[in-house]
Amino acid sequence: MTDADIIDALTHLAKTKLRHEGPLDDGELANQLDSVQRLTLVVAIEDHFKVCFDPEDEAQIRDLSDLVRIISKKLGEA
Amino acid sequence: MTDLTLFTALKRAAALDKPGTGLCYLDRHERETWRSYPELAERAACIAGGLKAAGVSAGDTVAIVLPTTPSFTDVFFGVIHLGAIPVPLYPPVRLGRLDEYFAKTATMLDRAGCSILVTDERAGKLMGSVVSAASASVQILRAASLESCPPVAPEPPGPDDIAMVQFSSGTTGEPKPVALTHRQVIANASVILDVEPEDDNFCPSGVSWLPLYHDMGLIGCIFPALLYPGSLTLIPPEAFLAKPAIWLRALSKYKGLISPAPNFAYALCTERIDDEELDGVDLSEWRFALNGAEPTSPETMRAFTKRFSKWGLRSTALTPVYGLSEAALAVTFGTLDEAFTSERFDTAALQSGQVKPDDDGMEIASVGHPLRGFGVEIRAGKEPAAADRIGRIWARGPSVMDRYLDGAPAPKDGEWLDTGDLGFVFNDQLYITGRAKDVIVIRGRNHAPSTLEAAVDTVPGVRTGCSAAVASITGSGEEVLLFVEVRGDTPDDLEDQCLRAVRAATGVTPDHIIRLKAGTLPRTSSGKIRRGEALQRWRSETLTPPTQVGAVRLVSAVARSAWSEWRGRQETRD
Repeated sequence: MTDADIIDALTHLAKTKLRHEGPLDDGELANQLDSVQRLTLVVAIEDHFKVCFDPEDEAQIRDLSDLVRIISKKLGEA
Repeated sequence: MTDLTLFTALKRAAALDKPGTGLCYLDRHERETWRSYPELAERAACIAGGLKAAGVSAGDTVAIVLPTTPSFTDVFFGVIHLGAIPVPLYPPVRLGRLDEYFAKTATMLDRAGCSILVTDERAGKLMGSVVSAASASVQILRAASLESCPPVAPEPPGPDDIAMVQFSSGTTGEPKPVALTHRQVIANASVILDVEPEDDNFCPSGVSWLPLYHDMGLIGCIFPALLYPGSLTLIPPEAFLAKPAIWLRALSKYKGLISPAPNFAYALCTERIDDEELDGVDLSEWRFALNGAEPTSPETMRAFTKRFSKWGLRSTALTPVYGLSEAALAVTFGTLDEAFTSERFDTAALQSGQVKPDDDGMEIASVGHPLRGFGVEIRAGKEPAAADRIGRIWARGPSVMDRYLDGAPAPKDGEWLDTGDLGFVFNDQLYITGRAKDVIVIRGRNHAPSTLEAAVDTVPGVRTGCSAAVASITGSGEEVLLFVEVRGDTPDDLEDQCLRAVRAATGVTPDHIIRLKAGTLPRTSSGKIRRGEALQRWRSETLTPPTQVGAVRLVSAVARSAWSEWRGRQETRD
C-alpha cells in the first residue's frame, strides 16, 4: 500500500467517522481534531488497517505525515 | 444493610451466586469477560495475598491505576479483603500533558499517603515517573503478578472504617482526598437501589461506560450491582468515546434497566451514532437514563429522546440527577418513570439571584428531590435563603463525608455539608444554577460562567464545551475574560462573533476573548474545566497548549520510569 493509498483511506475515515469535510491538512492533528476525534480516528485506523498502535507509536504522531509513516511501518511489520 | 461493608457485601453476593449475576467486562470489540461474584471473591483473596506479602496491612492506602478490565475489581476488592483502603486514580489515557499527569498523580499519591501503587503492564511503563515525583517512596506492583499469589485469610473492615478514598473533582481547586466509610458508600449505593423493582425473581441489569476512578462509575454502578446483587456490564470509556453505539447496543443486548452518564454523552450519541449501527437494538428496557455529573441540558435530553425513540427509548427514561463526591455520590434524583421537569425563569432576575418564572426566559431542568434519608437546604450565608432567591446548596444524609483523609476539615455545619453549588427550590424541586466560587458578578448581577460559555458553543470554529468564562479583578474593577479553544478552520472575525453571541444570550460583553489551541484549558480528572486555574495560568503566561510527546521524550520518560521503579524496589528492600 502506497502513502497515497493510506492518505485516501484516512480522508475517507475522517469523513465517515468524524464528519470531517475535506482532507486532513498538513498541520498538527491536535489543532484540527479534538481529543475525542483523535481517539475516534485512532480506533478507526486500527480497525481499518488491522494494525495496533502502542503508546510509543502514538507519541510520535503529530501530523498527517507522521500518521502515514507509522501506519506504513505497521503494515510493513504485519 | 446498615452494618454491611463492601467486604461482607461481596461475601454475601458470592454466597448467593444467583444465576446471571456478576460483572461483564466488554472490550472495544464487544467481546465479553465475565466475573461471577464467587470468582471475584476468590481472585480478591489471591490479590490480597500478594499485597500482604508486599507489606500492605489493614488501614493502609493502596493506589489503583488500572483501566476498565476485570483486574480493576479484582484488585479493588483484594485491598478491601485486607481491610486496607483502595484509592482509584485515573490511568494515563491522553497523549500530551504527560508531565502534568505525572505531577498531579504524584500529588494525589502524597495526599492519600499511598506507599503501594497497583497497575498493569501498559500504564506501568509510565508509573515510575509518577512515583519519582511523589514525596514518599511508593512501590509499584503489577496486577498480573498478584493474581497468582496464594489466598490469605481476610481482615474484615468494620462499617465505620474507611472504605475508599476518592478525590473531589476539584473544579475550583486542587483535588481533595474524600475519605468515605463503608457505612457511607453502602448507604449511597442502597438508596440508588430504590429504583429497582421489589421482586425476588427480578435480576436487574446495569450498563456503564463510566471510568471506574469516577464516583458515578464505582459507587453509582458497581456497588449497587454488588449489593442487590445483580449484573453490570462495563465498557471501557475510550471504547464508548470512539464508538458511542457500543453503549446503546450493550443496553439492548443485556437488557439494561439503568445506566447513568453525563450530559455530554447524550449529546455525543445523538450526534455521532448512525442508524445502521443500531440494527436490531431495543432500548425499551432502559428505564433510568440518569443524567448527572455536569449541568443537564433540556435541549440535549429532548434531542436524545426524540432521536432514539425509534429504537424503543421511553419518553420518561432521561432523569436528571445531582450529587457530589463529598456525599459519596447521589443526593437528589428527578422523578422516576416521568418525563423530566423543566421550567423557564426570567434570565435577568436569575442574574440578580432572584427566581421569577417567565415563559420566555431561560429553561432549566430540575434535578428532582432528595433521596431517601437526604435533605437539601438553600442558604444565604448561614440562614435559609428566601424562597424566591438563589442560594448556596447545603446537603445532609447518610453518606455525607465526615473528613478529608489528609485531615482537612469538611465544609460542614453540623450534619449539613456546603456543596459549593448554587441553586434554588421551586415547586419542591431542586434546580442548579452554577458553582458559588465561579460566579461572575457584573454590575451587581450574578452570571454563571456556563451561560457565557454555552453562548459561544454555536460560533463556528469554537470547540464545543471547550471555553471558560472567568471574572478577573483589576484595579479598575471586574473584567470578564472568555477563553475559547478553537479549531483550525477558525474565521477571522471569531472574536466579534463570540462577543455578539455572549451579548445576545446574557447581555454581558466580555472584556477579552482569548483564543487558545485545542487542549489548552486545564481540566479535572472528570473533564470539568478548571476556570480558576486557567485564569491563574493566563496571568502568569503559562496557559499553553499541551506538549505533544515526542519519541525521545517518551523514551526518556520510560527510562526515568524504569529507573525510579527499580530504585523504589531497592528502597523497599532496604
